[in-house]
Amino acid sequence: MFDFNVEAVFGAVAIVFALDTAMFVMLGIVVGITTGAIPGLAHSLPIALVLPFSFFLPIHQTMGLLIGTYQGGTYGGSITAIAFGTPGTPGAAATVADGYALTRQGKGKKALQMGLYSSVVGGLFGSLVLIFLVVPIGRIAPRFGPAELTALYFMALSLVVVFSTENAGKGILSAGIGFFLAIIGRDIITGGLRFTFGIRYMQAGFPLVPLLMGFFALPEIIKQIHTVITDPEHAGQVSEDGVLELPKKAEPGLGLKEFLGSWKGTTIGSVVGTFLGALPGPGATLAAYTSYSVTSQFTEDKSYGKGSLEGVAAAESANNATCGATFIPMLTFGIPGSSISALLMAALIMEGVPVGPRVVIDHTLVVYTIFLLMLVANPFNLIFGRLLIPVFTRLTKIPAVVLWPTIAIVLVIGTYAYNNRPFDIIMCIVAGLIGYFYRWFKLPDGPLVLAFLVTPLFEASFRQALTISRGDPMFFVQSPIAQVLWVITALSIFFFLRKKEPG
Amino acid sequence: MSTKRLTQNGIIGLLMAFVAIGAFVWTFYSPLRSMELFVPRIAMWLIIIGGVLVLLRDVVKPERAPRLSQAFVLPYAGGVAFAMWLYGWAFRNIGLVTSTFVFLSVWWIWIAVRDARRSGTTAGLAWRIAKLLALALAIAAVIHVLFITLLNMHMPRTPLP
Amino acid sequence: MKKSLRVGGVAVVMALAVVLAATAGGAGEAAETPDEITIVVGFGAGGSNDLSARYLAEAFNDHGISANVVNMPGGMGTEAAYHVSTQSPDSNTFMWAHPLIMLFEPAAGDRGFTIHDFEPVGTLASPTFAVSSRAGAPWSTLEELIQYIEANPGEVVLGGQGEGNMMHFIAELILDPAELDYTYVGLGGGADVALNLTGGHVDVGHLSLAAARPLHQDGDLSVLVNTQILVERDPLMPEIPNIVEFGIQGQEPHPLALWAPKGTSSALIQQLTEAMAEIAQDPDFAQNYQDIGVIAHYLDPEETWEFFMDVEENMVPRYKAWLEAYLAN
Repeated sequence: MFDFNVEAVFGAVAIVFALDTAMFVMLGIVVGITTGAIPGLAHSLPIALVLPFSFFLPIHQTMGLLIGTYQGGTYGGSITAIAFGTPGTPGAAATVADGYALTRQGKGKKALQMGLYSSVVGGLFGSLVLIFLVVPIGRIAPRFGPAELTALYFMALSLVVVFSTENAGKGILSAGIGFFLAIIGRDIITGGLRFTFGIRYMQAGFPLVPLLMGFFALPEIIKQIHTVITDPEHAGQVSEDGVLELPKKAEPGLGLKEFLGSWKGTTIGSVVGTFLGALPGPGATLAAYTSYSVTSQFTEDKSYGKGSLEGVAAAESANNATCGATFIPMLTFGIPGSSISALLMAALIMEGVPVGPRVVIDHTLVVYTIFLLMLVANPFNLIFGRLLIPVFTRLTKIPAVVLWPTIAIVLVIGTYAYNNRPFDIIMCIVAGLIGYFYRWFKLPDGPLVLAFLVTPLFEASFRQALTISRGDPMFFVQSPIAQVLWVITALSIFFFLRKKEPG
Repeated sequence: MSTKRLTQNGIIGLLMAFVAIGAFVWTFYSPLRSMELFVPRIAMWLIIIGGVLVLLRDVVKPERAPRLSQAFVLPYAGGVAFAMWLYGWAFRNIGLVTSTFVFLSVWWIWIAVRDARRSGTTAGLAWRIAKLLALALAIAAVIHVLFITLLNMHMPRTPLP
Repeated sequence: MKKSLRVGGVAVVMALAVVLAATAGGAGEAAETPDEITIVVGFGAGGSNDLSARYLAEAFNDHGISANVVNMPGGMGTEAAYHVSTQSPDSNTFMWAHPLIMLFEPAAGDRGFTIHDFEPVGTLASPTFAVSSRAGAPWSTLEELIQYIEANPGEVVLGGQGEGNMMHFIAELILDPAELDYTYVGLGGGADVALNLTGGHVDVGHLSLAAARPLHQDGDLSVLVNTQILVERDPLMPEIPNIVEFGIQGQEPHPLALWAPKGTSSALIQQLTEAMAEIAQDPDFAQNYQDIGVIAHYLDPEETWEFFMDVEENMVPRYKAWLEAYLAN
C-alpha cells in the first residue's frame, strides 16, 4: 500500500502545469481525435507511432503526448460513429445505433455534444478511480483466474438476451454468427486451424477492427451509393457543385437539461467502463456494449436504440472510462492489461522507468505525473472536442456523391494501415457484406458484436479452467467471486426476461 | 389474413439453419480435436435454434413477420465491394495518389455526365468536371499527407506516387 | 463570426500539429536514400520483441542506416514472416524473428514459409525465459519442486504460454509429464502467466525473466531457474541457476535474428551485419537491452545460420515427434 506523498503531488503539479507539457497533451489530443475519427485506424496505431518519440523527449512530454493521444482517440471514434454511422474505433461501435439515428433526425450536433460531454465525464471518473483506488482495485484484479473469468464472460454473454427482446430467434441467430466469426482462424490455445477454408491468410482469423469497421460502414456506403445512382434527387445535393453546403440556420445544441436527463446512462457507463477497464482483456468495446445494454434496461427514454441521447451517453462514457482504469494492473503489478497499456509501459521502460509492482513506491513522481496527465487530458479533450464539433457538423452536410466514396476510400486505406495486411481489406469487405445482410434481414447487431468480443475470452478461460480442474465442473463455483458473478448473471437474466414480458 | 404460411423471412431462417446443420455434421469429419470444436458446435446450435425459431414465429404469426426490402440492391452491394477491393489492390500496386485520384474522378465524372444527360443541360459541365477533378486531386493529396507523411504507413514500392 | 473564429482556431491548431509532426518525421524524410530498410516485427508494439527491434532501428540510424520498424501481429509472428518471405529481394524488408517463428511454427503446420526462404543477417538479441513459482509455494528450488510433484501427484498446476508450441515443448522437457504427474495449462501470453501466478491460480509459471524479475523482487512470485541458451547466468539475475546446471537439456532457443528475403544483395547484408557487430559493442545499447530483459549477443550470418540449423537438426525433429504424440492423445 502507498500513502499520498504530498511532495510528489506538488512535484507532479509543477511538471504537468508547465507550458511544454500542456502543449504536448494538446498535440496528443488533436492527433488522437483526428486519427480516432478515421475509420479503420484504431487509436493504438497513433500511439505506436508516438512511441519512438520517447527516444528523445523527456518523460513528461512523452507521457503527455501518449495519454493525450489515447484519450483523444477514444473520444474521436465517436465523431464519425455519430456523424456517418461509421465507427472510427471499435470502442465507438455501440454509439452508432443511437448516434447516427440522431444525425438522420437532424440532431447531429446534439448527439456529438452528448458524445463529447459523456466521454469527458466517463474519462474523469475513470481517472479519479485510478488515482484514489489504484491499489485496492489492483490487488483484486489477479484474483480473477480462469474460473472467475469464465463466470464474468458468461455474464457478459447473457446480455445477448437484452438485444433479443424483439425477436428471440433473430437474436440467437445473430449471436450464433458472432460465435462462429470469432472462432475462425488459429485456435487460441492449441494453434489448430479452425474454418480457415485452406486460405493462408485466414489463419489470422477475423480481426476485430476490420470486422467492426466493415460491418457498420459498408452497408451505409452501399445504401448511399445505391441512392445516388438510382434516385439522385433524394441523395442530397447531388447536382450542387459546392462541397460545403452550409446549413441555413444553426442547429440547436445540447441543453443542460438534456445532458442531465441522461444521468443514468452516464453513470452506468462510467462505472461499467471503469470496472471492465481494470480487468485485463475486455477493453473499451465490450465496456461500451455492456453499458449500452445495461442502460437499456433502466432507461425511460422510449426512443432508446432509435436515436436516444442516453444511448450515446451510455456507450461514450463507458469507453472513455476504460482509459484510466486500463492502467491499474500496470501500475500495481507491472502487468499490461491491454495493448494500450503495453505501449505505455514500453514508453516508460524506454524512458528508464522500470515498471513493476514497486513502481508506485520507487517512482512516485512519475506515477503522479501520469495521474495528473490523465486528469488534465479531459478538459483539453472538452476544449478541442467543442472546437471540432462545428467542423464535423458541417462535414455531414457534404453531398452524398462526394462524401461516401471518400469515406469508402479512407476506410480501405485505414483498414490496411492498421496492421499493414492487405488481406484485412478483404476481411473488412466480407464483414461489410455480412453487415449488409444483417440490415436486410433485420438481425440485431448487438448479439453479434458481444458474442464476437467475448467468445475468445470466454473460450480461453473456460478451457483453461477445465484443464486446471482436470474436468471437474465444480471448479467454476468454488471461489466467492465466481459465486457472486453466477448469482448476478442468473438474477439479471431473470430480470431481463421478466421485463420484456409485458411488452 | 392470419393464415399459417411460409414467409420469405422464415425461409431464409430455415436455410441458415440447414447450412449450420451441414457444418455441424462436417465437424465430425474434421481433423480438429473435440476441445477445439466445442465453441464452434455451440455456434452452429445457436444458428440452428435461431433459424428454426424465426421460421416458427412466422408460421404462427405471419402478420408480424418483418417485410424484407425487395429493392434490387445486391448488384450494387457487389459493385461497391468489388470497387473497394480494386481500390485496395490499386493503391498498393500502382500508387496511393494516382489510384485515389483515378477512382474518385472516374466516379464523379460518370455521375456528373449522367446528371447532365438526365437534366438535359450540358452547359457548365466542363467547368463542373474541372472542379471535381481539382477536388479529387485535393483529397488524394490530403490522403497522401495523412497516411504516408504523418502516419508513416508501410507502403510497398509502387511505380507511381 | 464567433463560429468562424472557432473553426479558424481549429485549423490553426491542426496546421500546427501537422507542422510539428512533419518536423519530427523530418529526420526520416531527409535520409530517404535507397538504403532505408524496414524491420518487420511479428508482434504488437510494446513487447520485448518489438522494443528490441526499435532499439536496433535506433542504433542503425546512428550508424547512418535509416531503419523503420513495422508491427504485423498475428499467428505468433508467422503472419509477419510470411509477409516478408513474399517480398522481393530488393524491397529492403527484413524480418526480426526467433526460432519459434522461423523453425518451430513452420514445423507444426504449413505457415506458407520456411527458414530456407530467408537469408540470415545476424543475431543480436537473446531474451531469457524462466520457470517461476507462486508466492508461498512449499518449495524453493527446482529439485524441491520435482520432489513435491513426486510426493503429491496431480496437485501442481503449471501455467505456460499456449499449447502445442515450442514453449510448451520446453516446459515438458524441464518437467517430464511421463514421470511427473502435474497439470499443464496453456495460458495467453506472458502477462497472463504473470497474473495467474500472482493470483495463485497456477503454482508454477513459464514466462520471460524480464516480466518475472520485478514480481520476484516484490515477493509476488519466485524465479526458480532460467533457460537462457547463449549464456548460463543472466547478468540481471546472476543468482538464478541455468537449467543445464540441473543436467536438463531444456535451454530455450529464443535468440532474435534479422532475416532478409532470399536473394537480397550480399553487399546490403554485409553493411547491416557490420553495423550490428559494432552496435553489440556499444555499452549504452547493451544497457538498453538489459533494461528490457534481453542479452545483446551478436552472431554473424554464418554463426546465426549454424545456430538455427543446429536447432533445426537437433530440436525440431524431437519437437515434431512430441507434437504428434501430444496431438494423438
